[in-house]
Amino acid sequence: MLAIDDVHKHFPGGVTALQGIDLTVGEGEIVALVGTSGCGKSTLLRILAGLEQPSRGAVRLDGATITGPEPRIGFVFQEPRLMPWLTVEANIGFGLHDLPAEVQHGRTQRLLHRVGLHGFAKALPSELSGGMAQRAALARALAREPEILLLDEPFSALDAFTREDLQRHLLELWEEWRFTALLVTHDLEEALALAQRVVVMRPHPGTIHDVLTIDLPTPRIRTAPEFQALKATMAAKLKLA
Amino acid sequence: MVMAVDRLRLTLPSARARQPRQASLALWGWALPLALLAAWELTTRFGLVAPHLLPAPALVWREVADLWRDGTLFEHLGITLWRVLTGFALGTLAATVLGALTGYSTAAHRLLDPTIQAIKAVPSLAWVPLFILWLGIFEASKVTLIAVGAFFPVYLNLSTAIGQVDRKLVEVGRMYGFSPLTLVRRVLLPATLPAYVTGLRGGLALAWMFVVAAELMGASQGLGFLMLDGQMTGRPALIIASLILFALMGKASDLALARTTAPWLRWQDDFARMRKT
Ligand SMILES: Nc1ncnc2c1ncn2[C@@H]1O[C@H](COP(=O)(O)OP(=O)(O)OP(=O)(O)O)[C@@H](O)[C@H]1O
Ligand SMILES: [Mg+2]
Repeated sequence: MLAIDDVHKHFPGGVTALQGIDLTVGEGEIVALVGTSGCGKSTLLRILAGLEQPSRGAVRLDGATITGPEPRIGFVFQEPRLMPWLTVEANIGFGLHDLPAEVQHGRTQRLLHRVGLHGFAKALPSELSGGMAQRAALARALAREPEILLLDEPFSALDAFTREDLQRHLLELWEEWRFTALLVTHDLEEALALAQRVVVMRPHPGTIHDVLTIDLPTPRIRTAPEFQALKATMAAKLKLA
Repeated sequence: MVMAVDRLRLTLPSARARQPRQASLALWGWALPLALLAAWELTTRFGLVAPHLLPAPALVWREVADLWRDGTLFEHLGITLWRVLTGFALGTLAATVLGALTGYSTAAHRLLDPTIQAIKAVPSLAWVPLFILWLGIFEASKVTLIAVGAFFPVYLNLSTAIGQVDRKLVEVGRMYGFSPLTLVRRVLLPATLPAYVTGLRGGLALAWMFVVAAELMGASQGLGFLMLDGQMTGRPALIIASLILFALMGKASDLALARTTAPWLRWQDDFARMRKT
């Protein structure tokens, strides 16, 4: 269980990026974070990843305070951030350096197939399309078999078609692995299609405005009237937030 | 499957077609030297410049051939090459360790970089008297001087490049809990390899420059010695022959370095690669 307990973050220069954030995320849950630009979504995710320290409060994973990056937590950034000098295959196995060679090989090959990049195992990142690169990044994060996957607008740079494709893909992977996921997004449809709960944040300072439980049946049909109605409600909440 | 076939069709013919074209393009590099050689030949043949200032190419060639015949050519070339490579290797080793250290750690940078920059400001030839005093007039002082010359380009390029590695890639390494050494090995060094190779090539060029200084300050063998010998005994052809040998050796060693490092730089998605295709 991931517990965010009264987290504050002040940046030098007087910006209060987060104030009094409390949130508990259950095992295997997908939670979406939405909110206007600058409300501290990325900052919160980076604190959870251990890349940034909270100014006050703490984040805990199964009771233990997170103080730095750890292999149980994976991160998918907004950009693929692949190592340009490594092949797709080597990029996917990038975080497995401390595991036995057979394990590295096995997981890498499995994920290559799983994200549909087996035809590009030896390709360099510069030879991939944006969607393929982001799939490789997803595979790299999953190769570590994290319990928690943090995703910061992972599909926002992609066209609508590729984005839906990758969202479906992420759900398939989740159904198989049941990792806990925190997904930052600007795309309300993305939040509604994937998440069991949507956290709406408010800026200056960054606080949680509302937490919505999405009890639409799965798989979610984007064109269904309930889906669209919920999207309208959420859009209204965001305007208020 | 369709995709795989497509890829094959796309990559194979162009890869095959590129080989002969590139080979013929490489010949362009010879155009200027050959033109200069022709101009030189014509100048001397029509007596435009006095022969004691600019001897004919054939005379220069004869100097080289004479050295070849009495077997000393390879001794001179060999000793010069040995000095350059030894000095270059030592300078590079020190530069790599110190460059990685000052590039990685702010504390090391604060502590060491000002001193290194100050030492860099000392003109190369100013070291000569001190090195001779400390290390004698034989190989040790020569190799040290060359090492000092090779050090700075390698050090500067590596140290600066490590500081400029994309923070975003470093963060990926941090997410996987890399230790500082793993981070250096798996992210920082590969990312800085292009700049490092530029530094190595600059260092090698300076090693060739410094070997002349080292050999002019007193040697009984080597290309620099040949040059000095040509000056003392009034043989301009020998001076020019040594110059040309320097140029050829320098170019050949740079080419060898560029070729050996090329496979590790193939990932670069830059303008040079775009120009090639
Ligand atoms: N390293 C930093 N130093 C100073 N201020 C920062 C830093 N990182 C973020 N901030 C500030 O914190 C606030 C929240 O930033 P954050 O990136 O978390 O927003 P966000 O919700 O992710 O926005 P977006 O949707 O545009 O990505 C902003 O006001 C930003 O200027
Ligand atoms: Mg953000």
